[in-house]
Amino acid sequence: MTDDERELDILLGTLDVLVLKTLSWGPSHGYGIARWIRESSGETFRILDGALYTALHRLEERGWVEAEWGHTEQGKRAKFYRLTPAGRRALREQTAQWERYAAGMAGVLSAAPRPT
Amino acid sequence: MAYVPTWRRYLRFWRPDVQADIDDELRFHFEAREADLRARGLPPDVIARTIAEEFGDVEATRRTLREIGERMERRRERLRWWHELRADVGYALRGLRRQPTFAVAVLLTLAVGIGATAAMLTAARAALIGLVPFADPDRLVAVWEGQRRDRAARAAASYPDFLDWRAGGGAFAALEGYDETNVTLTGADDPVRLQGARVTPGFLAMLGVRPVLGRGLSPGDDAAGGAPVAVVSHEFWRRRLGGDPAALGRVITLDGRAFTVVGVLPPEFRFVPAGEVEVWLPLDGAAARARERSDRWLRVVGRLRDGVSAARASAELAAVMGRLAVQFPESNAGQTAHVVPLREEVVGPTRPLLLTLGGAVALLFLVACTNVAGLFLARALARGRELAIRVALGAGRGRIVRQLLAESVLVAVVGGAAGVALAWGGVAWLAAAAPPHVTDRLPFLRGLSVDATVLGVAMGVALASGLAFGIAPALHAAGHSFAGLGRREADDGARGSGGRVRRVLIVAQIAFATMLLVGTGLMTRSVVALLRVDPGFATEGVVTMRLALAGPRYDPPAAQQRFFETLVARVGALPGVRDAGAVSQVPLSGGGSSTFRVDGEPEPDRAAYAMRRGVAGDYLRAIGIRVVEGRALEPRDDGAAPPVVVMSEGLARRLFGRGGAVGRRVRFDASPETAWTVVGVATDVRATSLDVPATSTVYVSHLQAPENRMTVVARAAGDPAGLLAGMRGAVRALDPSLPVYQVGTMAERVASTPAVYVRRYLLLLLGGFALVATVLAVVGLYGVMAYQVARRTRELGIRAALGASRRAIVTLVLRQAAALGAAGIAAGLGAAAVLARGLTSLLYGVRPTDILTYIAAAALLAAVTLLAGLIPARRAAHVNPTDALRAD
Repeated sequence: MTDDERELDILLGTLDVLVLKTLSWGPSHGYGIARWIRESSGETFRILDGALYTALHRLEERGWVEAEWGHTEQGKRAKFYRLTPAGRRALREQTAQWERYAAGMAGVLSAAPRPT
Repeated sequence: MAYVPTWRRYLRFWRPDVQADIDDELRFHFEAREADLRARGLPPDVIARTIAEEFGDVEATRRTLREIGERMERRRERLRWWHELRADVGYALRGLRRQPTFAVAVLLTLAVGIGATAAMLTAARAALIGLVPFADPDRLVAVWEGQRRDRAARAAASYPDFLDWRAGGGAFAALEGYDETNVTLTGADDPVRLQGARVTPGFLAMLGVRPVLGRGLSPGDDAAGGAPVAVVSHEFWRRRLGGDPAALGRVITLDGRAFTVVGVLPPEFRFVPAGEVEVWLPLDGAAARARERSDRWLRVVGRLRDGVSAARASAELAAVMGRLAVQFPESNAGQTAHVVPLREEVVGPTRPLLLTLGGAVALLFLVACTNVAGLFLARALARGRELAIRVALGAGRGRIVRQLLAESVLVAVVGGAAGVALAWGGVAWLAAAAPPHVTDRLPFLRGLSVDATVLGVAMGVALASGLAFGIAPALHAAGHSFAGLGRREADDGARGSGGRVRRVLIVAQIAFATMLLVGTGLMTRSVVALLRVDPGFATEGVVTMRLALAGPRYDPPAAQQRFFETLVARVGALPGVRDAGAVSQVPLSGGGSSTFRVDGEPEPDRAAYAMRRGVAGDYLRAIGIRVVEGRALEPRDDGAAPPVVVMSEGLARRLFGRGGAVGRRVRFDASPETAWTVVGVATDVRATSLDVPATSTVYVSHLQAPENRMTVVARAAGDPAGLLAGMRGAVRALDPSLPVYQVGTMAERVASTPAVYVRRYLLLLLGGFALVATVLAVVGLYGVMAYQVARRTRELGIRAALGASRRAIVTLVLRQAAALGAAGIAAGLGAAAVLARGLTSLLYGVRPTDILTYIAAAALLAAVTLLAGLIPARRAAHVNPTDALRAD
């Protein structure tokens, strides 16, 4: 399932936005976030789970997410993360940034189209 | 995954376990992923590989997570700590705001206690360090000549003796001498009289002083014929030489002679025994009086060699003096020498004062602390129910203790800060209020300020006391339990350990207050006795003014005599002057003594000695000394007439008995060739100090023994202060270049004499402390009594209902107050009787165990104690039985 040609290396700082976005729909545990990113990006991004957990904990330290131990539907004990108001604000800012960035990139790329 | 024992999970109840949380979180991840992949039907080896590839470096991740986790944990811990502290302080502040009287009482008490302590520490430190600010001061000693028969006798040394000490003393690394002198500086503005010292060349070097400019004195400087040089104080350089860095080499005129300035001393240098010396001059070892072995004027200071004690040095010099006594019996028979540590010499006289004040401050501080402790304890007792409820609701004991401690520490710190501010002001006041004659003696008072050390100690004391008096109530409170909730508080308060501690505190306070009152009483009686002393001279209506004749113009003795005769005559002619005269030293200005022998008497064991005073005009009448036998000195007793003296009464009686003095002849040891005939006997005078018995005095006319420095004394018919302008004018008319100094009235001189001033000062402070301590103790007692009455409302009501009369109830309550008061007073009197012995040297005319003072102190405290009990007692008597029974 690892196909190097199709996967893109994650850009620095992008992971945070992805995590925050994932959490914006509701609390989730680390594995849930990993699975969601993997599925929703169509397995575009190659994200190491270790990096994901590191990012999560950094976000927690920064106060953008908070963690709480709870139980999954299967009754397993797991650590759930949720967005804090500060995290929600950060997500909004970073999303706007990303959109500007993407629009810029798209503009440049469409100005000099290259046949595929 | 490593195996995690189950028990580790329980650690989380204690505190979060970072490692376990990470392990749990990752384990869940791996299990969940494995389940997902298995559901897709992948074989186990593929599953394991996939999971590993997806995750990356597990160990590195685990390490990073752990770092982050611990960082967060630390921050959380800090936040929690701050939060709880803020909560505790907020709780304490709310509590204090609810009871402002309590807060103000505690803060004021603490501020006074800590403020007084800090001020006292500052002064004591300044005194102990500031008086001997030299390198290695403990090796410095003062050396005195003494008498074998009179161990207490202390005199300056003669120059030849000093040289022999130097030659024969292996105990000293250096032995130097100085002579205080006054010099007149002319050449700039008005002539000024300066304090100066003539010193042997090595003197300043021995003290370890390095000039900031130029050099000190050196051995060549005292050589006869050498250009005269002077080393000046920093103050002199700043004020009179304009702080000019090029001042070295400048020539100044002292007593009409030119001196070259060769050095400037550092600003902090001060040699207290010689006063505020502005100019240091080389001592002329070749002068006439330096050759005379019987002329004792040199003050000797030495530096001991390492490892040599003052006692050994003393013994060594005593041996030298023993040889000299054989060699020069005329001058040295019966003489010996004493070596005393310089610090002892300088600090010694102030020690009883410092100790007394220190003791008084300590007592006040103890009263303040016990008072505050009592207040806190009372509060804790009153809050017993509240605290019990809080414990019942789940507040941890530790937390409750912490809250109560936060409260007491908060109060202590705020009180301590206020105390330090108070000390700051107090010290500034102390320094500013001290009159010049006190700062001259205690120069450290001038630069007095609260320093960091004292500040630190004061705050430390505040904190410690806060913890100390917070801890007892806090522990008491922590002892509350569910059981306590059901119990009646009255049981707790009246009979519990808290109530007992409180009563002990009250007894202690009353005891401390008693001690302070006794001290104040003794000091009051001393001052009163001292002011009642008849000094033997008139203090009202007498003005004095001193002047010194300096310069070549006055070198001939006849010029000096002419000057003073004319001046005294002119002052006597001023309107408003009843009598005028002059004397070499007025009473209470100190002075040495001369030894003499009586013609026709066998050689005495001990030479008689008396202060010799040169007088001019009608001095005796002007100062109020009466002639009781024979006649006074008169203008006809001049250089051409036979030499005559007037002797003080005590001395005349001792030597010759009543009526036997007139006609007898005496010879002074310094000039045994002249025989002086006694022509009169005059009343005794306390010439050195009010608290020292009258000194033997012999009066000589300046016409027969010239004086170059005299104090003009005038008795006014009316307001004495008005005379001063006229007297100054008379001096100016005679010689405008002469400075006048020590101008004032005798009454001022008496008031400013240390004997009176020091005691009055002490009385003021002790009285203040005693007042504060008494008020605190009484308020404390009142608090305890009021509290007890309130707690016993029910019991008292029942008594009333059962027929106890109001009188009986008042007696019941008063008896308790009286018991506490009596215990405190008895303990205080006992302690005072022991401690007052330390006051002995400061007392005058009263014994440290003066029964009257003790009775008065006890009576005063007994009265206020009963008063403090009376108010609650009356309230108790008016308890309405029905209300009481309804009460809680």
